[in-house]
This record gives sequence, structure tokens and C-alpha cells, in this order.
Amino acid sequence: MSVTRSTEKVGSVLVVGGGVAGIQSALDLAESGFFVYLAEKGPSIGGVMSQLDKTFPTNDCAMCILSPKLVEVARHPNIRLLTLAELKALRGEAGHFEAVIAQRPRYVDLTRCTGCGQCVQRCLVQNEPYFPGDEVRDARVAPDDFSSTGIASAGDLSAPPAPAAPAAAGLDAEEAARVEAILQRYEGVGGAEMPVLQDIHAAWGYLPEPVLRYVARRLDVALSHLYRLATFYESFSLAPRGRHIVSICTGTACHIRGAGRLLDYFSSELHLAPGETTGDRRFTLEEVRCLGCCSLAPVLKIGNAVFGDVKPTMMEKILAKYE
Amino acid sequence: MRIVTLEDLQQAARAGETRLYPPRPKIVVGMSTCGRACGAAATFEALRAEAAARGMDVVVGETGCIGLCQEEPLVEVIRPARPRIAYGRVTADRIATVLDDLRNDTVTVDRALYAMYEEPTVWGNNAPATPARRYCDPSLDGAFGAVCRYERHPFFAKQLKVALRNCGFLDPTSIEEYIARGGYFAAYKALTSMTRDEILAAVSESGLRGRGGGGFPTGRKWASAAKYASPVKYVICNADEGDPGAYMDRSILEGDPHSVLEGMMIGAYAVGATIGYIYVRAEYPEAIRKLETAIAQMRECGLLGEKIFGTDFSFDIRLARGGGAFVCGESSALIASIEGKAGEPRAKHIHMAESGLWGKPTVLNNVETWNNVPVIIARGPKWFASIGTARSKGTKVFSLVGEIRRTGLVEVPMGMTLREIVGDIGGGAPAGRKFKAVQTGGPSGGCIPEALMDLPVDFDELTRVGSMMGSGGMIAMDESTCMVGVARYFTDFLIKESCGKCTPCREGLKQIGAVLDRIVAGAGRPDDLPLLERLCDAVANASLCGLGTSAPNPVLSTLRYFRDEYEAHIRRRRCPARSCKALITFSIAAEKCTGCTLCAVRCPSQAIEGEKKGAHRILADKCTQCGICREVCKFDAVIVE
Repeated sequence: MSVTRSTEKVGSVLVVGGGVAGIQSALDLAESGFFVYLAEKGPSIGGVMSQLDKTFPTNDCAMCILSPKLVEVARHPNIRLLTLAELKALRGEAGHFEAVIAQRPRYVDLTRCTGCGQCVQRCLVQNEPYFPGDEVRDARVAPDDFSSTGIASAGDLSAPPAPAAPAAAGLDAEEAARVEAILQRYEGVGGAEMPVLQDIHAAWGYLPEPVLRYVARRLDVALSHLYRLATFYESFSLAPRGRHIVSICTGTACHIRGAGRLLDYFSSELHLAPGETTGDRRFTLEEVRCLGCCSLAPVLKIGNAVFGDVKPTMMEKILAKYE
Repeated sequence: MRIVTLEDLQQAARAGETRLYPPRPKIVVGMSTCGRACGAAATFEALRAEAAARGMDVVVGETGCIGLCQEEPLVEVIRPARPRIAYGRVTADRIATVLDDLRNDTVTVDRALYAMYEEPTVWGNNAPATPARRYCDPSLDGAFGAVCRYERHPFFAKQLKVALRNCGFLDPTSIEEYIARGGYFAAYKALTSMTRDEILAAVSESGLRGRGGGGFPTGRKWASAAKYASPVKYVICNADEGDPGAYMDRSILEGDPHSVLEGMMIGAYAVGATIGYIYVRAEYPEAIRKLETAIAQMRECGLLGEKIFGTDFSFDIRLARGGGAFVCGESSALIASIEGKAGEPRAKHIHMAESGLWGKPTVLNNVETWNNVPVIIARGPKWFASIGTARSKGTKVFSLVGEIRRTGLVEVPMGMTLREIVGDIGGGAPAGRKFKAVQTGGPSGGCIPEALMDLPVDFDELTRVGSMMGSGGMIAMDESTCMVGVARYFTDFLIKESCGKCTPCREGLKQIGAVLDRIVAGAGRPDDLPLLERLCDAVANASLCGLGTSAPNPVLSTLRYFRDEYEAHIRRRRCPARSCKALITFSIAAEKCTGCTLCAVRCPSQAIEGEKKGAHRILADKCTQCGICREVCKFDAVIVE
């Protein structure tokens, strides 16, 4: 028995991805009379735009543009929202497709959830609504920041279940005590984020993620805020660095007196570009915008020691002192 | 030691005096970052150990930046009835001369840099303390008389040290030494005998303009903050010295931190502020250490806290460290950073004097500006206004660096010509090379060609020729510097440092960078120069903050004065300065090559071949133009074309 496929065009459309582009497409199509399935991998629609402050070119607030659309998507009779959904297969041809969509469970009854967020606060297991394996996005979304992730977000109680994501790595008692000691120095100080991060950076050599999570909770600020500081300011690193930090000054005086050739030395001899660490964690190379020793240009700094008037031919000898 | 009355100050001054000029010989080592980079810490330890080993009765102390950074580590010897002698390049293994000279009561003339018979001073007769120190009879002859006099030394002769009045003359970790050199007397005078309006009037009358680059009249800034009524106001010291090539703020903070703190105290009193912040770059750990010490000393002496000098004035200073973002030198970005946010500038529809840090009236000035305030109060605004040009008063510190014979920190009256600064003080281009241009104002400034060297240096003249004062970096360039490369360097710097908030700066600079990239790569197009000008115009006019609006200056000024170099890159595919790698080739002059094989051994890409004692040659396809061969060749046989 052969199955004859209908060649008649169907009246529904699948939109994959619930960012602003997907949302707008879904709304336009729905208004034109098509039935739209809007599939989104994450627990909520809204995408990157929901995390933005201002948008080009008018500098309008992103959520002011986006949130009416989010509401409209949820309410539109012609749109069916599929969250935590992934497109597994697509068959057929233009006008007549068949899509296979896998939807992960949410463990929350969406018809009754009001998005108050209390369950997250009361949960004894410190899981946070993150997307495992998606580290960048992970850190940008604040644990308590429901408004920014769109209307459907509140239902997501914990990390997606399968495969079970480990709970956010906590700090052991000793590390927590170290962080507490730093936090205490700035108790009650306005704008404590910067000095706290600086001290943590000095103590750990970088900003470990679990520590940042801990600090965010203690300072009662969004983790996304700390992440923003950590990526905005040049002197913070989110990854462990080498035992010796080699900072090559690329200030003007150093530039015209050959700092570029020092960088060349590292790239040709140690295959190291600025920001990178050697495999054995011996050196991390950094460019620094002027160490203020311009009269000794070109200058480089290893740890706290500054070397002036450095030539590529001297590098081997200098580096040999650092194991 | 609490300081409340004038007697307390005078007592502290006497204690400082004996520390500054003890009855026994004293050796001071310049220990600011430049000095440390050259091994001053080792020199310091070695001098201590060796003096003890020889059983000599000397004090070994530290001081800040002496100025002539090129001769670091610098060591000065002070002893009764002898001129103050400076020795240059005293690394740990070269201390013997210094100690021998001291023991034999003589001086090795060719090792000594200068002899100082009398300390230069900015304090006049009406100043509360007059620390003009005469070391000995100036008619001294013999070995001492043969050493170049400080005031005749080409590097120091034309300088007038106001902001650097104490740098190199005192131990920055001692508040007594600062008081002994007239410190905190100005604050005492201001707090106990002047009204707020009198101080504001004095600062206005002095004509002091912001030393951070913009040149905004300080008096006007203070007056507008003073008129807003608010229980909380702030004063901020901007020590986020981000301009590459400028390091005067670092030197002042490392060499004389109290002068800045005293200026802030006077400013806070005048505008009615109770809290001061000093925002220091993270790249300046030594300056941070010195400031921490100085602030702790002030608290201990009661110069910070409640009821300073027994008046009703209370004030405290906090230290904030930067995070390595150039844009935080911009005032609104700096404030965002102190508030614990990412340092992005904001549009200044509302002035900081009305709503600055945490929405309160705020006065923000640069290190050097604050540092000038005590002098204005002590010597009076008329004296300050008598120095400089019609619209730029006082002195300015420049860091004179780059391809120049004498590099270091110089302070000159406003209006001195570039030729005097670069030629006379700096000694011009290194031997055998030709001076080409001087870059001022950091990434917001421009390049001034040789032809304009008679330009008097002040805020307005520099702006007129398409550059700016900036924080005072002055980078000399000679014929080996490619001006297109310089423009590309600054653009590259600004692309990386743009905070990305506004589009013209974020995207426009990238486009400018892309055009410059292809020009230095030898792929420039004929219409690239007009394109660059159009892009620069858009970025300058449409950007949000000072970083963007001044960002095209390096490109525009090099286009204005060195258009021929751009055209050589585009039309003839040549780099006249022989520095753009894509446009040069290395070769070896066979007649000069002795076949020593040194270049072949050192070449990192094995691009040199040749027999021992036979002429070598460079394989063009393997050569990466790193220039190591030219550096190691003892016979000048490597040619770059």
C-alpha cells in the first residue's frame, strides 16, 4: 500500500527561533492568516534583544519595543508557542513540510503559573535557571531577572533535566571564607563591585565563575552585572592565567621604538598571541596600554618587575629567569 | 602626631627638616617606577649593605622621580657644606663610585650629572615656609666646581618646576618632609583665614585651566559646583592617566602624593564637599601604594576626618582603582566606574557640577590641576597668572619621550616653543637621524611637523594646528617613524578602547582602521584619502563623548601635514620611513658582509643562508621582516628598502 502524499499546500508555518526576528515573523504571518508554530530552544522567547539596554539607531529601550510583541505572541489565537523545543528533522518541500520537534519537559504547569518567581527563591537546591553548555549566555542571564527573558520564562524552575545538569558548582568552606574576607572590606561601601572584583582577581589570578555567582548573591546584584564588569574592564580575566604575566607595553613611545617586534618575538618563538597562555601555564601574554615608563621604551613587565629598553634579542635571557 | 594648630605644623616641619637634611651624609635613590625598571630597588639595597659593610655613617633614603628618566637609576648625595650631587645610571654594580666619592669627600666628574648649590623653589617670601635650601657656597671650586651646575644643565636649565616642585626632593612616604617643604601650610591658610568665595576667586583669578587635556577653567568649574546647595558633594581626582606616552600624573603621585591630596582638601573646602575620591589606574601599583600610605598619614595627623585644623570642615578621601579601560579617563565614564558600573560615558545635558557622582554635585579635576592648587593659595593668584601666555597660565609638565636624545619629565612655562622643548631640553633627534614630528595629546591629539616647531605651546595654539594639549605626552618622531603607521596605531588603540556605546565611534573607527590597514599593507586605493576625510568628519561630529569626537585627530593631522607619505604608500607602494612591513624588503650588502654568520644564527625564520666568511643573503620568501638581522649585524650590512 503506497501512501500518497497530499500536494495541497497547508496553511500553517513553522518559525524556528524565538528571538525578535522570529517573533516579528510569527506575528506578521499570523496577521496574514497563517497558523504559526513558533519553536524556541530555550525556556522563553525574547532572545538577545531582551537582554539589551538600548537599541540602534534610536537608542530606544529594547524592552519597550519588545515586550508588547511578547505579549501579543502569547495572546495571538494564530500562534502556538513551543518552548524548550528543538527541531529534529524536516521533510517535504515548499508548501508542504513535516517537522519533527522534540520538546523537553518543564515540570511546571504553565496554565497555572503566574511567573511570580517564588519557587526559585524557596527552592532548597541552589539550581539556577541557566542553559548548561551555553556559558556565555549562561552568565548573562541573572538568576532573579525574569522580566528580561520574556513572558514564558517564569515556569522554568531549574536547569533543563535531561541530561541532568549538575547544580552550579558551589564554593567549599575555605574558598567561601576567602571571599567573605574580601567582601567584609567593602561592607556598606557604595560601588563595592569594582574593588571586590579587583581583590578577587588579585587573590585568584582570575575571576572564577562560582566565586562570581557567590559574590552576586552576597552583594545582591545580578550576575549579569558582574559579568559585564568582568568583560568591560581590560584587567579582568575569566579564565585562569599563567604563572607569570608578561605585559608588553604598547603605548606610543613603545610603539615607535619597537614594541611590535617584541610581540612578534612571542608569536614566532612561543606561538603566543596577546591574551593567550602557554600550554604549560608558564606565561600569559598581555598587551598593556602604557605602563608610564615611556622614557625607557620599549618596556615590558613580568609579574611586578619592569624591564626597560628591551630588544627581541634580549628576550631569551629575560624569560629564562622565570620558571 | 595630631596637627591642629600652626605650631603643630611648624613642629612637623622641623621634624621633616632634619629628615630631609640630616647632619650626616645622605644618599637618596629615585625609586619611582622608571627607576625601579632600571634596578633602583637593587641599587637601594646594595647601597645600604655596602655602606654598612664599610662602616660608613650615612642615611640611605628614597625619593620620587628626579625627572631625567633616561639616566635612571638616579642617585643623589647630600652632605653638609657640599653641593647636592646627582649620579646617573647607578645600577647595583656601579655603586662603588658613589660611596668612594662620599668617603673621599670628592666627586668623579664624568660620572656626576649635575651639582646643585641651591634648591629651586616655588615658595616666595610671603609663603608660610621658605624651603629654598642653600647647600654650600656657590664659588666652590676643585672637583665639585667642575661638575655641570644644575641650573646650567641643558635638561634642567629652561624648566620651571611648580607641579614637580617636590618630586625628587622628598621622600614620598614621609608627611613631615612634605610639610617641611611648605606642604599643608596652604591648606591651613585656606581653611583658617580664607572664605570659600575668596578661594574660588583666587582660583579663577589665577587662570588655572584643567591639566587633563580639555583646558576648562578650573575656577569656573568650582564656582558652578559651589552654587548648588546639597548636603553631600564630591571632589574627584582623575588619576586614570590613560594617554599612552604620558606619565606625569604617575610621577607626581609616586613622588609627591600629598600635594594632590592637599589640593583636593582645599578644593573640597571651597565647594563644600565632604568626600573626595581619587581614581587611579590599575596599571600604577606603585602610585596606589604611595597614595594609601599618604592617606593613612593624613588620617593619623587629623588632616582627614572631623574638624580639620580645628575648623568645622570635615573631609575624607577614598581611593578607587581603575580596571584598565582608557575611556574611564572621561569624566562621566570615570564616575560610572566609581559607582560600580561599566565605564561608559553619558551625554552631559546636565553638568557634573549639578549632578555627578551618585547624583550629587561633583568637581572632577586631573592630578596636575589639584597639585597646582596649594601653590596658587600660598603664593597668590597674581604670581601664578604671571607665568604663561595670555590665555594659558602657569606651567605644564610634559613627558618628553620617543626618538630623542634626552627623555624624561619636563615642566616649562606655558608658551615655550616646541623647538625649545624638543630641541634644547630634549636635545633633538638621536645622533645621525633627522627629526620629523612631535606627537602631542595622546590618541586625541595630532602630529606637529618640523615646520611648525616655533609654535608656542599652550592650550589654544595646539588646538589651532589640529592637535591638543592632552595630558602632556610629547612623543618625538624621527625619519624612521612612518606617519601612516602612527595614524593606524592610534586608530587601532581607539578601536580597542572605544566603549561601544555610540555607533559613530564604534563603527566609524573600525572603518577608518580598515582603510589605514590596507594602506599600510600596500593595497591602498586612489580614493582612500578623501574617504578617510569623510569618515573622520562623521566620527568627529556624531560621537557622544570626547573620546570619539577627538578620535580622528591623529588621522586628520597626519593627513594635513604628511599627505605625501600617504600618497607614497598608495601610489608608489613605498613606505618612506621603511617601517611598514608589507612595503619593505631586507637584503645584505655583499661588500660589507664579513660572513660572521651571526644573522643566520639569530634569524627566527631561517631566512638567511651563506657560507662562513662568505657573503650571506636573505631569502625573500622566508623573511618575515622582523629586523633582528639588522639589529645583530655589527657591520651595518643589512639594508632595508
